[in-house]
Amino acid sequence: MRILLIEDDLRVADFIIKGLSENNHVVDHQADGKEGLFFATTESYDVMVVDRMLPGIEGLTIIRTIRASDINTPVIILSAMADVEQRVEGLQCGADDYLVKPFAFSELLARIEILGKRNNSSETRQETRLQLADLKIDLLSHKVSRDHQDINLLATEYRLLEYLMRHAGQIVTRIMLFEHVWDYNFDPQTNVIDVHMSRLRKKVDKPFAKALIHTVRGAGYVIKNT
Amino acid sequence: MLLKTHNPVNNEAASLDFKQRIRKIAHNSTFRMVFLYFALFILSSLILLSFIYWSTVGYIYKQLDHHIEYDMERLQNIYNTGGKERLIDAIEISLKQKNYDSIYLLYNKKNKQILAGNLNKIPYIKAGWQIIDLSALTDDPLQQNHSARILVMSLPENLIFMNGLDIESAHQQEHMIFNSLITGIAIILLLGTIGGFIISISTIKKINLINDTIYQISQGYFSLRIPSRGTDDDYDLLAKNINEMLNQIEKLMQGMQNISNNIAHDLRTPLTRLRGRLEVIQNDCSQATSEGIQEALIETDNLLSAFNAMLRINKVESGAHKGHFTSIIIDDLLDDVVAFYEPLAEDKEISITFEVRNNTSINADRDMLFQAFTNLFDNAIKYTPQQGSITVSSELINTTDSQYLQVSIADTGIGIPENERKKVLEPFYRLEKHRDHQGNGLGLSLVAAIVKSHKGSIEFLDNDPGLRVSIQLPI
Repeated sequence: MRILLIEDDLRVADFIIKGLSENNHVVDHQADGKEGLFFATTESYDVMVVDRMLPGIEGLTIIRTIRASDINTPVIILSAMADVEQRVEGLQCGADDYLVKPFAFSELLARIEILGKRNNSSETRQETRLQLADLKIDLLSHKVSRDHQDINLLATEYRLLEYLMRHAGQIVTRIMLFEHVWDYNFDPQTNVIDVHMSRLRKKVDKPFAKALIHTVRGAGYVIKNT
Repeated sequence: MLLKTHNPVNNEAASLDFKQRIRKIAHNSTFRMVFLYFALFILSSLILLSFIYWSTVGYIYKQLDHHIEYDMERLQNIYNTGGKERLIDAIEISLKQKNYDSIYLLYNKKNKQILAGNLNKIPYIKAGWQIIDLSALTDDPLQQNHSARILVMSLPENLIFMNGLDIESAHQQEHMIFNSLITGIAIILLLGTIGGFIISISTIKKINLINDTIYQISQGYFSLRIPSRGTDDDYDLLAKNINEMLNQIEKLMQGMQNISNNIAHDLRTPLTRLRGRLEVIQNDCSQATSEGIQEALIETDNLLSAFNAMLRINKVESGAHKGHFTSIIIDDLLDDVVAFYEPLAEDKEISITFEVRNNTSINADRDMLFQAFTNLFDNAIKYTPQQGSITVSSELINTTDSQYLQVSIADTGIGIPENERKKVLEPFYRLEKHRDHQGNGLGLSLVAAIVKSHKGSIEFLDNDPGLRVSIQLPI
């Protein structure tokens, strides 16, 4: 993916660039708001990562400007401004995701990849079924089966699996799971999500020869057919 | 605020309340001062009035004596110049002048023969000043039960001459003066009491206003100020000065909060770098080093979560989140929390029951309340042994003056000793026996801050065994 990074802290930018390059992404980095806005409006990217407090033009202004000029590239705000209000403000001005500094690189990577993928696939298509290897989910009846055997999942487990399946092959972090499956907005700081995941895996993976859900150390989970 | 007792008002309670109020007033220093001043005032008026009484009454009797002495001198002169007969004539003339007050008696002490005077009998008397009872000595009904002040003198020829005055009118004057002075004292006492009460009550009221406000401020309502009555008196000045001091304190607190906010913010950037650098190193190093770095990353994350919790407590306490209050049904939220913790509890064979329910909705910040309950559940599960139980209930409590929602989470864990129940709400406070458990000692502080921001209150009670956390939220 081609990624634009607008971040004035050079050392933070450094390790983001390094990490993204290692994961085969191409990164354009700008430290100044004006330069960043220029690149954002003239070049084409898959995802943009924008800091809020920037020299020149402020991050939110950059996002408003590109949205006003009909550029729909997904944008992740990366900021030390961590309040719910600031987060809401960021999302309202057109950002697609908001990540608070300090962050785990894996969290940023997971979010960038999910946003990039979403932009590539035709978003509007309404799916009714999801399938990965022999695991099938019927999104209408909420029925889950694997290898032609029905699997009974509790509501939470179903939502977890659905979220994983919608992002099959991509790493989802615990915070992402918490935000989307439980619909609450804060970092829960507990291992409860892992407990939920382990129950899901007991039902979905354990009875079968091949595990589909994998733990990614220091990052989160991924469902994939390897 | 919400924890007021809500007994139905009965007479016993009311009279107890009255007694307590009286005791409270008696303990009030203003009242004591007024009372002391009042006692001093009464004492000095008593002394003054006694002085007035003694000097007035003394003067009256002295006047009588002067009169008697003067008359005695006149009659003695008559005797000296004219002898016994002239004296008898003079006495008769004086008596005829219808001076009822005058008492005369002239008699021969040898044969006890009364020669002149208006007494029928000879009293037992000696020479000089004395007071005699007239009852048995005279037939005059007007002088019954009267006393007389007399001066007795021996004259030649075995004569005894007694000259005196009926002192009944002087007695009556004395009584009148005494009565009016007593009335005076009563009036002073009454006015003094009323005045003292008015002064002390108005002073107590002013002081109480200041006291109540300061108490509320100390309970965390820092924006409150003592109302000024605009009278520019000492109390107004006191209120003004206290308000000025409160402004200063608030400024300092804001400064402190800003500083701690800035520190936390400014530490985030270097921590971001640190974390990033560690992750970069972790990617291209040996397995053993990678594991060490993983531990360092976990430590970094713990540090971060402590920072975040501090920032969040600060934020919640500053009341900046008020815009996010929406109407939520508390039971739905509790259901979410219970569902969230169900697997963790099941792993430890702890049963969770949602006992009492109600469908009340309250105005609250959904994320914050969820976080508060998460922290409480985290603790409940952490400190409850295998096969224990956790009971959740939400009750609508109606009292005469308020209506609130009481959510309680009771576990069968190790509980909190009574003397530490308040302290656990302080940031970074950790129970000694909990030191081996992980955590940063900020969880309950955050809960307290969240509850407070919802104008609620939190209490730790004994579940015997275990802990019962009771949270009251106003509706």
